[in-house]
Amino acid sequence: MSTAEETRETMARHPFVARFIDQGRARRTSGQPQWWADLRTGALQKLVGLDVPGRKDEEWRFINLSSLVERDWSPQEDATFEPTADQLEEWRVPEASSTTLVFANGRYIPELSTVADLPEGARVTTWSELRDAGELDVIADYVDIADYWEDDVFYNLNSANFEDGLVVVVDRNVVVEQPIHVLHVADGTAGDYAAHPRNVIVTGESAEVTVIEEYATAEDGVYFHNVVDEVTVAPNSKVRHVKVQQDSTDAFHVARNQITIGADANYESTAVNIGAGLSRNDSYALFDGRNIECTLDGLGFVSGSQVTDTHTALDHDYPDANSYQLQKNIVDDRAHAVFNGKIFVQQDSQRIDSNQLNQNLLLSKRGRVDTKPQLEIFADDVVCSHGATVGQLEESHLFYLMARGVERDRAKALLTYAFAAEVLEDIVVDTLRERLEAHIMEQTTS
Amino acid sequence: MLLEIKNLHVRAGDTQILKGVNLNVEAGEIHAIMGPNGSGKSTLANVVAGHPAYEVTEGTVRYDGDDLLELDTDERARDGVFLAFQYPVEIPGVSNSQLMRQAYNERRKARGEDELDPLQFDDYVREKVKVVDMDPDFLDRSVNVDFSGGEKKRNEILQMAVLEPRLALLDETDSGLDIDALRVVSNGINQLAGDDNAVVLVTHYQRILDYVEPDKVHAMVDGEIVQSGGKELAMELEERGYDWVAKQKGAAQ
Repeated sequence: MSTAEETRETMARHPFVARFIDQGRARRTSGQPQWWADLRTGALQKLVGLDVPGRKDEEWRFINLSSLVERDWSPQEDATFEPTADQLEEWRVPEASSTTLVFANGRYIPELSTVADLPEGARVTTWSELRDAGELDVIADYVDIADYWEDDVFYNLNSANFEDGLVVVVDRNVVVEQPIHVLHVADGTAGDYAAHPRNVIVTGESAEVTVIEEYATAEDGVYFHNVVDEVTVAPNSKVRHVKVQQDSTDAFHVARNQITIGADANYESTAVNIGAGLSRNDSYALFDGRNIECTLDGLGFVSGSQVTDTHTALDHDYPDANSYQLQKNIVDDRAHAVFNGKIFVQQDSQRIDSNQLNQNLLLSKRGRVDTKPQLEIFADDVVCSHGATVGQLEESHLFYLMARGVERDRAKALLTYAFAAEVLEDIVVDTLRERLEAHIMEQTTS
Repeated sequence: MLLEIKNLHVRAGDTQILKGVNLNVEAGEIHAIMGPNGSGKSTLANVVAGHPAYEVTEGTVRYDGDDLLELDTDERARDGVFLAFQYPVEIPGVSNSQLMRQAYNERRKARGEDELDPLQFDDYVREKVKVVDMDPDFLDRSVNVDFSGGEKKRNEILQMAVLEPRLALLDETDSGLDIDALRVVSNGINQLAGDDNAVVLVTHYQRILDYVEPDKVHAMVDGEIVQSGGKELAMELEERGYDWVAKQKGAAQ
């Protein structure tokens, strides 16, 4: 079959994929190093043979993608958004005042971004800036590095279409004290657009950095964020990664997070999924050396008809690792939360201590929770604990608070907040943590 | 009259627990309600505080002249009714100081006073912590989480000291305490007790009455107060048990 015939067939089978193939093929190639051009071409070829996942696929069985895949998505370039500085005020993180990068409807906005006061050897920039400077090769070795996503439609859609995204490169022994804040703000009234942010975070040996990756909504509406993060944590370095997803409840958010961790390194992440009508957040952490510590925590808070689906996979490939996972979901109204946590311990990966806990709080009768731990352990000297709970607010707790004079609604908010606090309290950026805590309280009271 | 209970009948599910309780408590008084397990004394305290598990089928409860049963649990608390729980619940994620500041500010608002900000409240609560001889670190810990039994009871007394209720109902706060903790709890009660408020101690044991001087003692058996008297009644109950008061009551009927 010729390429054209294959494409026609894909078009007939999956207009969703075919449309993105067309868009990818139309993208400019000027200024692209060969490896990027190859990545795009490879992804386009791959996509021709990939199916949109459906409920018969084990990885997708709990959610329905039809509202996402049946829509005609325009490229982000057709839906530009020029935010004002005032519009961004509510999401500014004071601790990151000198290291904030702003993207609006997927497009980098240098005028609203500030990158200053960084130590020597720390680079905070974007794909577009590196391309213009002809310096993209600094990240060549850290892009598209894992086989795990090879057959993933959304990963390949991103690879075939991305134009921009955050780039953080911290050299050996360099410690970046201030957090780096990448703020993706969306105007959902600008048209049904798809953006494919590609964020790359790389540390050198013994380096340290904190990144806040945030998705916020200026105007509600339909759009599709299809994100790929690639984080490479060098030996003995430390990365803290906070993701805050507050996309419009009419929007879709899909993210693939590749984390590759070297020996003696530490990766700590907290993913907060509050927004989007449908959000799907998958993380794959590859333990690529001994003595690694990895924490993948998450908080989902959904109401109305929102759906949030979190999949994690911790791949312990070397001995002597500790991993921690606490995923909490709060489900109100007819909303739906899904958690799937995979833990792989390969043969010879001895002395692994892995703890996974998924706790769900149902605030309504019609809410729904699906949870599935999945352990595949091929070594014998390991400790893997996992647990899942689904519960409601306890009447005895409510009565106790009311007996102290707290109104019932306020007591409910306080207890819901308390449930979430265990995840949020590990966010080291104070103003961000306080903003999220206030948000949870406010959402529960209203 | 601060608290006036008349002919109170209370049911939990299909079980009739209180069968016509009468009790009058004046401001400035300390009352002790004693009785065997299952006599209904804890139910009485919980009903006055507004526990949703109980249904009042007959009778009235008036607080400072108003119909208390018309009010929700939280409204009663804001009006100065306080229940020290027999089994205080653990609430992970809500800090002790957060709860007490919220509760105290609700009470201040109800009295038409300004709320305290966290710093002002911190000064206030640290004085109260001394009353119950607690480590101030307990303020930052989640409510009752990983507290020992005695620490939980002290924490209830701390909350009472902070809220300065007009009517304090203590549901077996003295049970399970060693003598040091009992002294601390008693001290907290004595510090609160004054001309404007009243304390009702629900207890299984006479010992706390060595430290807190009651004005009146009531013996409760099978959902009724069968005898009332002074402190000497507590001694007699301790010595002779409850059967004789129940029989006396039966004979009188």
